[in-house]
Amino acid sequence: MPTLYGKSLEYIEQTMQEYKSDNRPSTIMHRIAKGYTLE
Amino acid sequence: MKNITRRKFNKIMGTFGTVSALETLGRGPTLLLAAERHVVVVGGGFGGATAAKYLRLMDPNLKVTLVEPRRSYFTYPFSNQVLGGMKTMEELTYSYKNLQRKYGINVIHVAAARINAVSKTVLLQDGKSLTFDRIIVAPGIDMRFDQIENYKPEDTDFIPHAWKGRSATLRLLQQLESMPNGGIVLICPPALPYRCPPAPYERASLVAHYLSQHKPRSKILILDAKEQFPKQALFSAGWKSLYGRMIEWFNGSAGGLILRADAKNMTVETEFGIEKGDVINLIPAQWAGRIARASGLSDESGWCPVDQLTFESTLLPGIHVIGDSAIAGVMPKSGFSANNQAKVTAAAVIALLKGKEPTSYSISNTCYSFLAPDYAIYVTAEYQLSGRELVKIKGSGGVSPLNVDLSVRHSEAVSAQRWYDSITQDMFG
Repeated sequence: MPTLYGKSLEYIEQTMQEYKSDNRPSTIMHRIAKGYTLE
Repeated sequence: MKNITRRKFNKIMGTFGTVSALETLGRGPTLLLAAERHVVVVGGGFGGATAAKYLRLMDPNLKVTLVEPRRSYFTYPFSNQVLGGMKTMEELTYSYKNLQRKYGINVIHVAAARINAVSKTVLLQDGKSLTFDRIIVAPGIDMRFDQIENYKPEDTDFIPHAWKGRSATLRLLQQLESMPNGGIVLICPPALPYRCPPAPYERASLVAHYLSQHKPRSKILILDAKEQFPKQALFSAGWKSLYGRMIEWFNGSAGGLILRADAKNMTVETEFGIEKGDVINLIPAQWAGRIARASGLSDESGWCPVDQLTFESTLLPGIHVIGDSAIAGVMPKSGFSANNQAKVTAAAVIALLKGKEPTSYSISNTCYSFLAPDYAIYVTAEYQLSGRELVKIKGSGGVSPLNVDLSVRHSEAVSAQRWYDSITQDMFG
């Protein structure tokens, strides 16, 4: 998993969306991201 | 690349579960308080060590005292790896020096005897007492000796639980090392709730890893009080592929429930008869650590009811209970749960001391289990408040997928080690 430090807001948001929609390979992050919405 | 502003950072961290007390980080003192506020933390494990550190990180003006009898801390998470021959006990042992030197926490190595909610004092075993504005209690678990017939505290030398503390783990390790090839190991997990629900099955796996290398004719029988157990399909499939028929599991109604123990003859009695073990790892039912029960913080269940927004006791005001001892809705009792509860509780305590409203939050728990050195699986979930009760966030969480390539299990083992490295750094670094 990449580190958060120094990453832009857009990057983090996009990454979480990709985890949530299973469009980014992950072990547990896709399961965590599904618990959250955009706000 | 655009950098994150503080406001946006707070916004996004709010989205992913961190608390608004982050706002207090790095802000200098804006007003002079009439008197220095003092928060005492009892217990220096995953809950207490984290709480003490985050209180100081979130409010550097706060005086924080950590009461912990042990000079160093042995992490119960990952201790099954000691039994599997993958880690030494030293590798899982941490000092309180950083908490003292880097974070200015007053660490006192003495046991707490009793907390008085009215006088806001905690009496210590050495006769001294401390006065507090608020107190966070994180005493972990104690074993119950009132559930299994003829099972007494002194029996744990012969049928060790290895469920807390260094010496109990060492005792079980010595027994495994001295048992004969072809011997029988009994592992007896209790009914829920207990500390670390998947851990007995990780233990069976890593003991099998050790035995298959050194004593391959041996057997492991799991005599379980439960009818099912966490990550069961994953464990069962893994055991079959890694250890053949070495591990056998019996559910409660199939002869797994332990009624009586006999440390002298090394037997346990179930509804189906008497089982003899060369090694018996009896994991008894548990309840809140002694200080919580002695201070009137536990209810008839043996655990401590809390307002789950602040983890303040619903029985005694001004006292917060976190970690294994607390009843935290559907959150399992784990080191990771305690670590996350410590952070939201630190924020709530600071808010309450300043007369502010505590903020709602969401937190997570992940439990990794090793089946072999390069083979691990997980269970994970996110939790939020529904009223004042922690519930699982719909759609979040799950367990490792079944029927995947070994490389997936291997990468989980790498993730699990990283989890351990980061959480111990978070507590003691």
